[in-house]
Amino acid sequence: MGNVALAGSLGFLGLGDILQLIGSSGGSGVLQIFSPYAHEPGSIYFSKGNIIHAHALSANGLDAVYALFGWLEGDFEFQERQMSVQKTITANRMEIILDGLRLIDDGETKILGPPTLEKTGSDPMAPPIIRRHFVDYTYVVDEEFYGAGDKVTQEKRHGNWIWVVLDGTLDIIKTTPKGPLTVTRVGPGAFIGSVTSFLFQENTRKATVEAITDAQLGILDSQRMAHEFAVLSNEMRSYILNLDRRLNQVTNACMEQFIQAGGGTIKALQDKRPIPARELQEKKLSKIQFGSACIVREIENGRLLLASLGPGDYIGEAPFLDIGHEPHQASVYASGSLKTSEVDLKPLCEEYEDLSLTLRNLIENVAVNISLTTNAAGNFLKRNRQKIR
Amino acid sequence: MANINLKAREIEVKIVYYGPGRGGKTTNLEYIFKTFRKQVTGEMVSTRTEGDRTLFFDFLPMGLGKVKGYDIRVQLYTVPGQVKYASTRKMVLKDVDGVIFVADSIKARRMKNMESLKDLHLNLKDYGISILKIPLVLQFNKRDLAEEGIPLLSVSQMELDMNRQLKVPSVAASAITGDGVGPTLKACLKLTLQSLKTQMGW
Repeated sequence: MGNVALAGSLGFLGLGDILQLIGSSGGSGVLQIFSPYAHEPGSIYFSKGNIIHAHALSANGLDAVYALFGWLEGDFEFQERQMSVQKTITANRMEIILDGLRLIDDGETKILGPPTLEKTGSDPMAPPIIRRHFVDYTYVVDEEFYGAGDKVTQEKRHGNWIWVVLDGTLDIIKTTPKGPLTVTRVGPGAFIGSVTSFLFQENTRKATVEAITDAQLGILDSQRMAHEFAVLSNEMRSYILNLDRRLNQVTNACMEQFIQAGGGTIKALQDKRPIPARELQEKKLSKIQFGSACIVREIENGRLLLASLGPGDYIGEAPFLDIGHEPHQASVYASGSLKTSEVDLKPLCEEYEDLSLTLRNLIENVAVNISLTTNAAGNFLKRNRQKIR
Repeated sequence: MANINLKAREIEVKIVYYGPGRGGKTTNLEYIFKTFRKQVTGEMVSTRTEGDRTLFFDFLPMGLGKVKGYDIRVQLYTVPGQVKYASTRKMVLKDVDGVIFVADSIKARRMKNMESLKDLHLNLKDYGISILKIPLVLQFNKRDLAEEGIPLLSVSQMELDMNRQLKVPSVAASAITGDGVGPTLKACLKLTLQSLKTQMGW
């Protein structure tokens, strides 16, 4: 292995800049790009600053470099070492950069991001998969092995453990009147268990978790995490628990769509009016003091009620998380009496930055879960509407 | 701010040609590439952006000498003006050191010039650069077309249209014959180096 010579976030330094930087310093080695939306990193190989080879998922050579321009989120790492790979790219570095950016601007390169609702995948009804490029071992105190078909947790039973998936795939299953529903499917890097485990009270499992392949799980030091959680500010704790509440509501919405109980007019919206999009600023978080609000996703042939909020709940999202709801991907309907107070984001962001990696990953896991479960619910709604027609 | 390459002991200065489509940015670059062939270190890179080409090459101009023991390497770019080329433009305009605005002297293109200049102002602003502070040179291109009887804007009219507030050097040019191309670049390099010296406290 070589030495990591340069590493950072793609949000700060884009691929175009990174390629120039490595180029102008004449580096030899491999640049790896990690995206939360790709199950393996993409790689670009350099010899004396020139790009000689690349691969990203199924693409190789120049196509892979262009595809990597679409990986806008994630991290990169450049390791310096002597390269002995077959040279497949001879194009000039600057030409690659300019072409790579142009293909993005022309819309020819796909931007890698969370699966969106409007995209037609191979099977839109398949449960979304949560996994991360990075498996977090920091708080793992023990490892467990489950064979395919084994149950890790049982819905409605008690339990406080939190696991991180080290290997294998597992289903998160909810019981519904129409039979079991796999809400999401988790893979390496994803977490099993909820932040409510930190509350030192009886914690009931909200879902059954079943291994669908042989799986290896890491048990996390929940005592240590609970302690870390307990010393957070009130605002941070209440925001994190609120995220978990939002996830539960979205999961319920997904189940309702699955058993087709939803649909028709949404009663909760009758006394509410939509808040105009311009008033829902990006990167703003407000807390409801009085009144109520609903989070709704508008889909081409229907509305999906995602969450009903009351005093103490939050509207918006903190800048460090993406839950795929308001302000961009969901509307907010508010009762006439709604009063909110704005949350000061600066201390919240600073606190988040100081969290341990594992706790941050766990919180991000909740956010990703909200986003994906919402999409799954939307897919069920669409399917239901199609059946009605 | 220019990039200082410690390994190569070079200061990389980035000059961007901006202006309305088909105004002659590419012709300027092609002329420089041909004429200063010996000083050009790499090849000319071009990517076909809609309605316009985006070009790049870098060269080591003679006669600029060394600054604090560093050679000056000049990177020349053209930038696509269309709104949709945001990522390309962002990369090109990031850390730009000097701008050459190539205006079209054809009378019918008067509005296009002014729109493009305004666009440059807004784009630079997005990257935290003031058009009044960045080293900028105006080039009034296609002066040769007067001989073919095509109605052109007078230089004083163009000054009035574009340079009333900016008050930057301007050069009448004909990129197709090469007239004024060198002097435009030279004027821009001069301003850019002066500005770098002030920025770096030399």
